[in-house]
Amino acid sequence: MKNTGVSIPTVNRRAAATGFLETLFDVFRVRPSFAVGYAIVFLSIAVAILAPWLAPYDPIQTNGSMALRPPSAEHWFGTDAVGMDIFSRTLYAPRVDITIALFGTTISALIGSLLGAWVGYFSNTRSLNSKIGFVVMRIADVMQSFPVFVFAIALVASLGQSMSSVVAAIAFVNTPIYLRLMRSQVVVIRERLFVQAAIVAGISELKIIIRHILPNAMGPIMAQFSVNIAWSILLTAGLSFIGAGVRPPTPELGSMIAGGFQNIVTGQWWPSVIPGSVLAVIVSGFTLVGASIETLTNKDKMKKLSLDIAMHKRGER
Amino acid sequence: MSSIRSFLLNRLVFVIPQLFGILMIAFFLVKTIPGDPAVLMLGPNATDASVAALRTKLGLDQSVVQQFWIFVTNLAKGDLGTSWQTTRPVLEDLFQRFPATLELVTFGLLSAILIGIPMGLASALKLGIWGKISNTYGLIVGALPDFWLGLVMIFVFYTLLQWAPAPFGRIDMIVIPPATVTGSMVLDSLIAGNWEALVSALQHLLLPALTLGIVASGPIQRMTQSMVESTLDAGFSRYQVISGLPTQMVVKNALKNALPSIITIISVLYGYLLGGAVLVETVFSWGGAGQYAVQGVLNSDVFPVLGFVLFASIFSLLVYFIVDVLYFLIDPRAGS
Amino acid sequence: MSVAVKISESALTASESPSRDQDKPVVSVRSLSVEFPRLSGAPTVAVRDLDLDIRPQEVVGLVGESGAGKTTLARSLLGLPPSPGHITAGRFVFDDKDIFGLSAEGIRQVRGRDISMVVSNPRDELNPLKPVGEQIATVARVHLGLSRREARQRAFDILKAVQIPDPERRMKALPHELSGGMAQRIVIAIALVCSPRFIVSDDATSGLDVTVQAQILQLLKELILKRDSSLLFITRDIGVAAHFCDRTAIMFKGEIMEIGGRDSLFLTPRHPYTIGLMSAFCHNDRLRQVWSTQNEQIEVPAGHGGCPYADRCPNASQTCLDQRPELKQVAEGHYVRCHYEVAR
Repeated sequence: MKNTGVSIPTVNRRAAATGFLETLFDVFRVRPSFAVGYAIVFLSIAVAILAPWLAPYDPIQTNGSMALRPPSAEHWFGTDAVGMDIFSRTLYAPRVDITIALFGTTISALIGSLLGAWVGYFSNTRSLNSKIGFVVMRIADVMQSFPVFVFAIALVASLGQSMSSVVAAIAFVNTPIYLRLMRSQVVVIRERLFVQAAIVAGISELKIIIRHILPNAMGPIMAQFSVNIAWSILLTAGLSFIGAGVRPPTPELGSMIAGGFQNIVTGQWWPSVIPGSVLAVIVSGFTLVGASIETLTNKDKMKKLSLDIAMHKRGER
Repeated sequence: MSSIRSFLLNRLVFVIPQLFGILMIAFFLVKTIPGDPAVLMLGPNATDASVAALRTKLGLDQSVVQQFWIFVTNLAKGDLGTSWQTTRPVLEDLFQRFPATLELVTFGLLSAILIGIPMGLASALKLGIWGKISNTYGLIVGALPDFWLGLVMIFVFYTLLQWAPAPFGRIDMIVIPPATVTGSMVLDSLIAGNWEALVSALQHLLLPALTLGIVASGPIQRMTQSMVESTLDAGFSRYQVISGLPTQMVVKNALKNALPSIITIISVLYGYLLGGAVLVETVFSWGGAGQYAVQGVLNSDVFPVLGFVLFASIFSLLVYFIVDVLYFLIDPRAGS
Repeated sequence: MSVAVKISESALTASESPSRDQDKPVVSVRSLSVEFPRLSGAPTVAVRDLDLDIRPQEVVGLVGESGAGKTTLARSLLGLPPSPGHITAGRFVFDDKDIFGLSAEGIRQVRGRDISMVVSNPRDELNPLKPVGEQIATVARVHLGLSRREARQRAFDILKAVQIPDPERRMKALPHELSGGMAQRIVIAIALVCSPRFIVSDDATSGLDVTVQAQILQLLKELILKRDSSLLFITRDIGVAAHFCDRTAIMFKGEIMEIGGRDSLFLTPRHPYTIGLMSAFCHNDRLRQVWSTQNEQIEVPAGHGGCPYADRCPNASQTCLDQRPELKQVAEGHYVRCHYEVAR
């Protein structure tokens, strides 16, 4: 008796696990782009972590005699103008780009959504908080009407050129996005009955926001988060490309593209085109993951997904 | 009609403080960038005395708040300051460069609309293979770095195929540019009837505008798709199907309802591209206002940055303003 | 102008074939099943093996709690089950036509012209950018091949028929300018403008004030009698059904549990669920208590193949878990799906 009592939950858990895998498989079969997205994201993160073991050369080792060699068995992606191995640099580069984007986006998501929840919770009330909220929103208006790129460059220049400055710049330009998104969510959720019930029950405002409102507003934030990482990677690379981000010889995709800029006119495409393609692939990976999360959190899209899976299964029969 | 007037007045009331806020943040931000313009202007061999004299002359010895006040009062007189890099008034520089940026962004956006909207419709209406192609296109294109796409364009169409002119400037060096009327090379050549200049200007414009157009068509495709899909899912579209109206009619009505949102997204994109085209301008040495501002940031040249921010903001606000008016004309609910 | 008026008025009043056999059902649904696929596991059955007949001039009520499958049934009859549901089995014969057998274009022509639907929450169901008069006229123009002017006239006439005050002005109104009751009348006007033989009303009056609701129900009934149509009246309110419907079906988890004529069903209800629903309106607390408590003697495992009501039924027994009950006749036109229908 004792044995069965222990084994039943394990069996159930295994059944649940296979059920989950089956569902995942079904989803990927009708939405292959989601599978591609997750594969890209996991692969690029794995490569970023394992770069020191995977890279055949030191990414910042110059070699004047081997400059601008086209791709070969020795140098898979060729070498750049100072003879650094582009393959090794490309393996290392996502470390910088993904880390910066991840940190910058996380900071902005945290600050932006907390602030947005607070502003949204108090909006249209007659409290002092509501007036502060109004001012916060107008500041967000001003920040968002800046030309983003010039704003980011100025921030980096002002803080001094370093990785942490780029992180700060990304966090800064992204915060209003979460602020707005969260606010619009919270304004709707606040009116729902369970929140009204909590207010009537006299639960403190902070507790209501954290326990009842935030969990219900997380869906769109998560979807935005992944899409935002993609965009932040592009911004990081763009900043470095123009010389306002990470400096060479640190392996970074944007500065690698910039480094190969002069060579492209004379026909040596590989120092620029290869890192650029890798950049595009990584960015599209995060975009696709964002699209998949958006589907998960959107009722109508989930309905369509279920229907597609059912149709697919019926087609097989 | 009185509702539209009060609505627009309401808008204007917010515009002035907003512009002021933008300038203030920009000013203090750029002021915190390390580097002394006086030292940079005079070079490494300047004496301390001459540097101090220049600082006094530029007003740099005063507090930042006072400097901002001077900037604002000069602005009211139409003086945007002087760039130490070009040693010319910023206003003159911008009048020369802003139209270049505007021309690039406008043509880029036009091509983005021409590509993005049909593709968005194809995927929203699930037009067989075209719908699938458009779906994939929207996902890939949105992920492309514009500066890199520009480089690839140059490599393919200039280096390899020799179809496009060298990626430098807006018109061939040997061609005499038309007299400036609108500031757009293409329009000015047309006005002057200068065919040689027109052809050269179009050739130079093609790659950078297409670069911007392709990258910006991604978001337009996706937004068009999701807007049309959601209006087709909306209750009123469903009820039209229930009432037995033909599919084309249902789709046409859905499109009319989705149009305002699509226009809004395009207008936001327009504003974004003004600043976002900087990288493409750099790649093609376009000599636009964005490039001018970036050089300003990188060289502690305050006034070009402020001037650009001001111009770009005013332009964005103008676009939003026009869109609001358009909304009024399209959607009868906007007034009430 | 006068010619147009004459045509449209005669079209509004004349029924197509006055000498129709009143007992032959105009609507006949046979073993209809609609399923909703789920992301994993077996699909949810929203409508299961359902039969329903409706005769000309008859108003049949369909009562059930939310999730019973009422809306799914209504939309499925138009060949448009709500997404992601789909019809997995069954036939729907309307006026001797097999509706589900029609082509997409064929069924489109039936919708709105021969079978129409009145929906709830009408303001969301109207095109926000078009004057409502135009929306009514469009349906008439598409289905009846009228000219713009004739269609306008017909829309105007139908607005008068649904007793909209100042129809001239309302024709030009946009949906957001109308009150809920007004918008509901517009939707009814759209549903009636082609004089359909069969109207499905999906919870169309529940959002209205009681007085407005009474007016609209009265109006619907008059129009149905005048035009020899039939009505399937879906509601959550068993009281409204008792007042308004000739026959009423009680639906639970996609199946009809009990169906009968007004007197038979409401004076001698047989199914525990029906009694439960009725006692909910009753002031006798003890009665309510008895009929809303599940039989605790019996443990109901999930996914048993028996009676769908077993897990809430005060009379449930082992038989209810083992066997799915069939619909049995207990009186003239009165059917019950229960192993132990409550005898009188």
